Amino acid sequence: MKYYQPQSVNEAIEIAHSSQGMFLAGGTDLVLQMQKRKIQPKALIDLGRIPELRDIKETKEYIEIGSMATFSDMGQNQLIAEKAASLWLACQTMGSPQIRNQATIGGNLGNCSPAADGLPPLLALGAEAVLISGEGEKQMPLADLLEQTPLLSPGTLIVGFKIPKIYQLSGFAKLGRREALAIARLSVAVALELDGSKAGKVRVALGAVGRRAFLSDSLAQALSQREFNESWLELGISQVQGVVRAALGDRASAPYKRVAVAGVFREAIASLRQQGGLDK
Amino acid sequence: MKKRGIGLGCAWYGTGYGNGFPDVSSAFVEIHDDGSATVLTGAVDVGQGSSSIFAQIAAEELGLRAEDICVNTADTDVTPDSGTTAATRQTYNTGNAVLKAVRQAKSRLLTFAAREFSCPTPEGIELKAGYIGVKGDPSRRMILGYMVFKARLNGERFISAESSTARSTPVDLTSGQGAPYWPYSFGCQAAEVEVDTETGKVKVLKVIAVHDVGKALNPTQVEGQIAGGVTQGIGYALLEELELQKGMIKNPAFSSYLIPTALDVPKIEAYFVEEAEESGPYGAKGLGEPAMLPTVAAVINAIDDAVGVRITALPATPEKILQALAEKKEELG
Repeated sequence: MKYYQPQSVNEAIEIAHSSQGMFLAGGTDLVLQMQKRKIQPKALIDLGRIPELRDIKETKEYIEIGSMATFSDMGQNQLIAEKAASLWLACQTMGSPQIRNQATIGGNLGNCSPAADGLPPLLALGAEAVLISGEGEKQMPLADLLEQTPLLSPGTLIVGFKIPKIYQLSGFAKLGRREALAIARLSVAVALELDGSKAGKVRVALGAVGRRAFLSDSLAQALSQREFNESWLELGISQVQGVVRAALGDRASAPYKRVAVAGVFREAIASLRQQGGLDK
Repeated sequence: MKKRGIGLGCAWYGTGYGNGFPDVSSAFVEIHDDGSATVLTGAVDVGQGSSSIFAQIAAEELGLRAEDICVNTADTDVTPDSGTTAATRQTYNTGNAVLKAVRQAKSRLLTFAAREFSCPTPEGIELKAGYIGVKGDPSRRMILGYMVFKARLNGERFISAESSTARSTPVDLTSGQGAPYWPYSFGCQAAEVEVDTETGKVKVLKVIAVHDVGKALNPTQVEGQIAGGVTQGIGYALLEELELQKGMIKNPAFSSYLIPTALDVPKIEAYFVEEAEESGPYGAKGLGEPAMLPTVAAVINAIDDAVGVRITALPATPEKILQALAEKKEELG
């Protein structure tokens, strides 16, 4: 197996084309799968030497996060804490400090586990994914990308994410079997525009409910443009239980998850309220 | 909704092999002319601290510091068999063997020293703070190592080998009578938990643990063993589950067979009762396994106190708790 360390995005794309290798980000998923021989790449293209892929910055309309930003980078970033709280919260509980130091947001999408901690917040916040391949760069809503199979065509590099600065408030909660080093059994991310005491546009994404994280249109419809109060919360809870029921069907985990999601949704909303100072 | 509850758990536990199987530990000891001593024993220190206990025992007998004692363990080429590190037995059983061995070597040292000091009886000699001398007479004393050196020049060595056997009898299966274990260890713990009635998740908030250790030879280690036991007990109560499929283990890794992480462990208050066990070294007895036993009952009882459901199969997973809550709701109509 060959190993490359390109110094630029263009070089990485060229190597991907000529070597038919796989991109290596933090390696917390890929290396494990290689050890189990589930994946045997012809070549590894290590993205760790391309500094611009690790940038986190603010532009006029977006918060931009490079694909090689680690969960620690994001979880310790003031900009993300203030303007993408849902993602920031997810970064605090993902894995353990050691894994957070290594694992990247691009790798989280590339591996695309049903329980990926970073994806529900990005979905709720309306993130755009920036991709590049031999055919050039393209930008598309993450929600649309997650509908695609396969997720990425060969040789496509995830450059990063652009989170529009629309939602003032966002929250996240995850249910795991323990407090650290726990794979999400359920996760809920919520983002909303606050319009006085009313919730404006609302977006809710769910993780570990089905094949991939997804955005719920029905929840968005039911919860948008309504008074943001206790009955809004109760409406959200009954709706989210319905969404989980529909998504899981008769899977073994369904009887538990469709009930338990109530508590996770409640916690996600509580995290959003705290951050908005609405509970004070 | 999150509800809190408190539960109590008590345990008693017979330590040692027991049930008629002879429990033997052994030790070799040598007192050196540099003022140190060596203890050899097969007892394995797996992190619980038994080697420290043996150093403390030898130091206590010889009037030395624990760091003056070199404890060599678990090398089958050179150390005498002291059985397994199991059954909560090393402090008590091997501790007794070490104590006997040290005392044997020491008694010959005392006899030699009595002669040197022209003291009529070895009982008149004391070992204290690195010195050996005549009790109550500060003018007749010298550094311990120097006395051993004098003995060495006289062709004497202070080397001993001892073993200690704890005997028990099997239980008579018809009458239920017998003396299967000795000594017994006792403990009691209280746990406070918070149960999320929507997710079924249990968070242990606090555990208070009280254990009868006979005599705490090393109080810090006692606290550590209690904290370790409570942590294991929480895993036993809430997480640990071996999944089998046609005899094969489905979760043979720590990523799938879960134990508590540091973030899952609550505040633990450890207390110990010192009710001397006459047959133990300085009154000590074992604590290893008993420290985890009451935790399970305390946590399960606390769940019951919090939400009124009885979990009868471990671990008490969120699924079982939600199901029990649903059944209870159905019963109440």
